[in-house]
Amino acid sequence: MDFEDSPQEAEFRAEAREWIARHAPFDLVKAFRSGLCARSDLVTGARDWQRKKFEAGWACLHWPKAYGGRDAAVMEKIIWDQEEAPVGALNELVLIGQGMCAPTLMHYANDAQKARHLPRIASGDEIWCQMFSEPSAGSDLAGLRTRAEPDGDDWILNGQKIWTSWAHEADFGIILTRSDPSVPKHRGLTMFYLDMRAPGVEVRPIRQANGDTVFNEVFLTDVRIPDAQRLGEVNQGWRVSLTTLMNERMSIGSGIPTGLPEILDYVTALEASGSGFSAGAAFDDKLADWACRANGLKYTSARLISALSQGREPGPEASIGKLVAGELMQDIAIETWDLLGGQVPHGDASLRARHSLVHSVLMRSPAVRIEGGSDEILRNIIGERVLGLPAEPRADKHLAFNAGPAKAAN
Amino acid sequence: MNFDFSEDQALVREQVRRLLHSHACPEMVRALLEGDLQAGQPAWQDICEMGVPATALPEALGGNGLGYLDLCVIAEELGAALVPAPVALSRFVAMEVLLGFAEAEPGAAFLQKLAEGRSIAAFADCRRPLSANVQIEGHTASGWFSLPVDGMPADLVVMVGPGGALFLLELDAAGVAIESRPLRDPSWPEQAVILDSAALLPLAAGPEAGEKLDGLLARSAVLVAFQQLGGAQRCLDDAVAYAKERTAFGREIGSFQALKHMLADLYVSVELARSNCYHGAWALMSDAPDLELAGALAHVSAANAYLACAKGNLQVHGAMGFTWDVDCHLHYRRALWLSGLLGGRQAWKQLIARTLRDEAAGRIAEADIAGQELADGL
Repeated sequence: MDFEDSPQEAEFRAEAREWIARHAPFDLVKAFRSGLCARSDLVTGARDWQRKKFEAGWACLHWPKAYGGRDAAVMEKIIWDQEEAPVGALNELVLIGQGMCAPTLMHYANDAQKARHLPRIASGDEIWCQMFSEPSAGSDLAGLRTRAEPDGDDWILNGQKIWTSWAHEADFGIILTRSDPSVPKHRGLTMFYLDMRAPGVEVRPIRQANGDTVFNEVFLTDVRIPDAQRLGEVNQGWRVSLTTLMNERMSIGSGIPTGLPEILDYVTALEASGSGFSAGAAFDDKLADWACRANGLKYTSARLISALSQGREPGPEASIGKLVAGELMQDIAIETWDLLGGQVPHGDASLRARHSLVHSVLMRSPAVRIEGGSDEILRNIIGERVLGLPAEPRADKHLAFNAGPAKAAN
Repeated sequence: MNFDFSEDQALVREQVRRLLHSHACPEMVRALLEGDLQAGQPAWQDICEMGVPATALPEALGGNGLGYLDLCVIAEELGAALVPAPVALSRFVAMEVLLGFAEAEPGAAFLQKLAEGRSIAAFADCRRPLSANVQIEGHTASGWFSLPVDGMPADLVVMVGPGGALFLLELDAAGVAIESRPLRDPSWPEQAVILDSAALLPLAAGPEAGEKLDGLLARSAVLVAFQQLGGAQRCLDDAVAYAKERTAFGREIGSFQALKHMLADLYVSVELARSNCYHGAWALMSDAPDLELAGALAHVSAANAYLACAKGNLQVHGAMGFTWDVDCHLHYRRALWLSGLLGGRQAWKQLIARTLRDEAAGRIAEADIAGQELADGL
């Protein structure tokens, strides 16, 4: 049992750390996290950062060289992610493209398509989004209704997608559609990719509960795409989407930030500020519980990395990371809010910046508990796929899609 | 990086598991609860023959060449099997403390006997106000203290005096009497030691002794945490198996989200505990500077998981779980007992909070200095 880097890994880590220290815009990320600069500044910074990484050979390390990577071992990719974590916010823009769309393309696109798009995804020149959820298909993703109908060598798409992160910045996107409504819902889906500027694609940003605007509605009206942009076989889209979602689990190297050290620092700074504020014993009791969960998460991630480094694939066990982190960050922020009892340290800029972070965690954490599999869906996955408990009754499982409850709701 | 146990440790695990399977451990625990303090003897004898008490000891003290990671794996199996043998109290706590003071007599001689299983030790902290009232004059003690029984009665006590000095007390010495003072429900047997000018063997005194003791108990915390982890995993496995088999309203009860989600949460608690335990094992093995924090996190996390899983397992079993013959209550009792063995979760949580607060204060001070330097530069 050891945590030590091998000599090569240690050398790689040192090199990565030095390059990041020299080139990463730490101040920009800090300013954004404290609410001192706009998201648009962060997006500009993020694009610069991707290009800088790409030019220096640090982008998408584990990808083949031909696509802009360097064929690195999975441990090097993980080490890179760990070292890059302090400026991880700069990757949000490209995460879906690099982490989910690109692996799907590698698996299902033809060589010319891969050569055209993958290097541009690696460099951040192309932003990709993923159009899965719909107004009536979230947790029950296979119940989606966006239609794809063949028309000669093309397909015509009609429907609506929602909660599509970064669609307003995206150049391309992968999209899961219903190609055959006459068979049970999982068996009539087909995956494509499309140009977000194609005629008939309309992106409408959604203003989120925290005031931010990252996700969107996407309306598709008679959008024509060539059959060459189909990913996987016709009606095999569900299987293709599992490839995409499986890759979501690989993005675990740097773990999920819970806000614990930052908020603890804030409380400690308040106590040291000479204001007479004291957090008290009840806070310490909660702090210990949070630390057990946060440390448990950190080393659960280490166990997963350890398994990955030995060539094992991440299984459904990886679901616990987001489940624990979402609830934990919300608990920490709400308890801290309660501790302050409505007080805001307006007088001191550095305390005010730390206070802003509590606010952003308070207002962002509810989304973590819903996006990418809600807490409830994750508990079902753990219950059924890890513990092997009997499945939920599913009323529409064996019915043709157009004969099931979805039909009645139409 | 390889954050897992080795193949050799998997073999140790298999060997211990097979040995424990050959004993009807839950039956022994029921007999123990009914007053037969020697009920665990056959299991204890096999455990000693396998060399468990000698594991992770220096060879000069009778060690068998296995290390702390092996001992962690063994602890996990002992916890799963619910074995009523004095490994937690004697090997994980008393011997681990004694090991810290083994460079001089009398510690070394006693350790050898303990390693061979010819003696069983307990640990008693007489600074704790509710479970002890001991007066020490020179090297003799009078008064009483509460003596936990871990499967089988001890013959030796590693004792922390009211002033923090460490002693050994032989329970067959003159002036020592043992009384059983039964409670309404003997959740786990407990005895009282009555001292009348009994002779103590001094191990260490002074403030260094106390500081050293804290570090040694963190080692115990990791080992006890693995025992708790094994128990938690067993409870979860039992609950899941029952939820798949029992039907109600025409369905297996595990298909209802009320139970499925509860079991998922228990699974999460076990996985977090396991990760904290592995971190603790690594810190123990490598004598890491943050061993105290790692031990505290492992012990609290594993105590949380074992208590949650023991409660949940009984709940999933419904009224069957509340019968003497079904094992659910044995784990429930064991989870409670182990959570209090090292002074209770609260004390360890305070240690965690104190350590994190100190770290945060360090970071704040550093940030202040950096800010000041920046201001000076401008």
